[in-house]
Amino acid sequence: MAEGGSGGILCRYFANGACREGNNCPFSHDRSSGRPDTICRYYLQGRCVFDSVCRYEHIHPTRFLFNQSQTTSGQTDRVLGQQPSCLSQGIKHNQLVTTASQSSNSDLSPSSESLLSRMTILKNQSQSADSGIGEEGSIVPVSSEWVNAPEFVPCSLIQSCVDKVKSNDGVHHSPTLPSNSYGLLCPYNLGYECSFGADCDYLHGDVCDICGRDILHPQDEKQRNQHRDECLKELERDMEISFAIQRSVGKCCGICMETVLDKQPPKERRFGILEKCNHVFCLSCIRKWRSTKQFSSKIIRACPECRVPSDFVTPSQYWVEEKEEKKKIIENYKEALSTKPCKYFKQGQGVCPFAGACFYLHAYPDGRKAELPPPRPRRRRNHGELETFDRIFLWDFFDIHDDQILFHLDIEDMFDLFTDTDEESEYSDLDL
Amino acid sequence: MANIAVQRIKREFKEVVRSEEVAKCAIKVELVNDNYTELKGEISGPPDTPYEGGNFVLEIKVPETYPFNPPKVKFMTKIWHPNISSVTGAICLDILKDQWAAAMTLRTVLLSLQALLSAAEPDDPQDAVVARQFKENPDIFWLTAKHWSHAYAGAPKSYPEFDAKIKRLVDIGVDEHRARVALSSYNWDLEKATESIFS
Repeated sequence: MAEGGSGGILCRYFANGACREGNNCPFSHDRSSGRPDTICRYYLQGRCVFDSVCRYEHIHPTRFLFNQSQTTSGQTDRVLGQQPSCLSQGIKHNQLVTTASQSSNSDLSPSSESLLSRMTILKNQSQSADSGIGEEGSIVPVSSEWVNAPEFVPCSLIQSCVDKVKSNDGVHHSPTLPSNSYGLLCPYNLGYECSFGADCDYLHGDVCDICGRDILHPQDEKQRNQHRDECLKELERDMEISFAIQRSVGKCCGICMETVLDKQPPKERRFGILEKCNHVFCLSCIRKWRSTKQFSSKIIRACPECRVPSDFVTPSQYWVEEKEEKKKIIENYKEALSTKPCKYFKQGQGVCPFAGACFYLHAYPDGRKAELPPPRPRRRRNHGELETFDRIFLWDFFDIHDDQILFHLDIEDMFDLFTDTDEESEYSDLDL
Repeated sequence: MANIAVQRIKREFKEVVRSEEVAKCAIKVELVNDNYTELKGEISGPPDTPYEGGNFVLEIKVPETYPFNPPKVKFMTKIWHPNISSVTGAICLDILKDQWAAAMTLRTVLLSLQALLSAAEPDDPQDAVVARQFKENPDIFWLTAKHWSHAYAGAPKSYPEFDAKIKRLVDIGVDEHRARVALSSYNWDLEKATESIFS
């Protein structure tokens, strides 16, 4: 089930900036690892035009949790007003949810009435549990043990609802609230118009002046601050990206002389940042230059414009010139490389000629990292002459093969994803 | 030809045409064929050199791997210069060989060649005979280079004594160019030149 913590599904309310559950939320509040949920948001608004053929799931997030208990305990089918027929719709049984109103009015287009019944579903649950009467009016045996089923225990939402059901004999006239002392933000009003307007049982948040959504909780100061922080961060990130784009526009590669951001195909629109100078090249050109075989390594390692040698090329979606930014992007690049196992070290079975200076991960199968000395000086035959090198630079030859690295970088730097493979991905240019 | 090479040559061609050097008639590029693999360059002899006033035509062949490899350039106009073969027109210039950089263009190559004309490098010669003359008899070298510029590159008339010597060899049935080469090689010593021709 969608267990809480970092491994579960990303809480969509958290993603929208407002989750009433805070740390108790059964869904993940970790943006980096949480899977986005696959629930159709138009369905939640009651107006999905795709109906049963929608590629997203037509389930209700709250019902979803209850269904878990239903299908595992097998005793609460009726209590929750669920029709077994929904099982036959081919939805995975542990995710299946059909709201009572929908299943009973399945021939009707979603009306505000059905929406209402979904909105107040918690109310219904407490009622039906209390009276033992299901949505369809059938009498169902109520077992109180089901609340203690182990499936529920880690889930605070269910637990809190169950507590309510157990402790309150009366009928609830307000939305069932968990332990949270603040009112609930209406999930339908987050980013969309809630069709109930002022009549909605739930709270409608204040408008956030940054993102423009009705998302700020009127009372929960913590939530307001958290959302503002997130919004500001996002705004900053957006600004950074637009500055980066502005910087990159019109920049011409010194080798192919094309405007890098206008190159075709679009996957060519990448800059190759040289460490020691600020001359503009597209990634493929500078890499090709650095792998040209007929010149001495001194020549090809030098910038084609100013001849200042750089040890490696850092791929980037945008042009960076400013020292700090450049440092950051290079560090990110190295960091990403250092998580990739070295192809030559082979977890200790092979020998990496670059030894301690290798950018890639040198780790044994047990996870222990290898401590290697810096590479020995080497000689290389070039145009019939012997040249002595102080060091050999692995990254010169390897930076071609880092599409997956780029992938990591992209996520980090909000870049587009590139999963293409470079055609020049040959290790033949590796000078061993 | 690789697409990048064609694209670049097209751009460079425009760059040269628009450049201020063209406005000053210092350099010029023309297309020889339609696929941009062969071009004809032209540079004017720099001022204060024996080449002043001359126009030197160059053959430029663009390799498929351009710009990752240098274009092949040689002088079509005969020229007397330590770093250029007086026989074939082959050029000894580092940037056209192992010091090439991908960011160099036709324009920079032509300007480099022009600079080479004003600053010869006799210690790294292409033509040993010329280089020796350059070092041992700089005055004769200067006059010879000037004479060649007049004869082949349309520079203004120079030292008439050289013309007279050539004429004497031509009169006895020697080809004019051959006579000029022989005389130039022997520091305009008519006797030695004649000897070398008929030996």
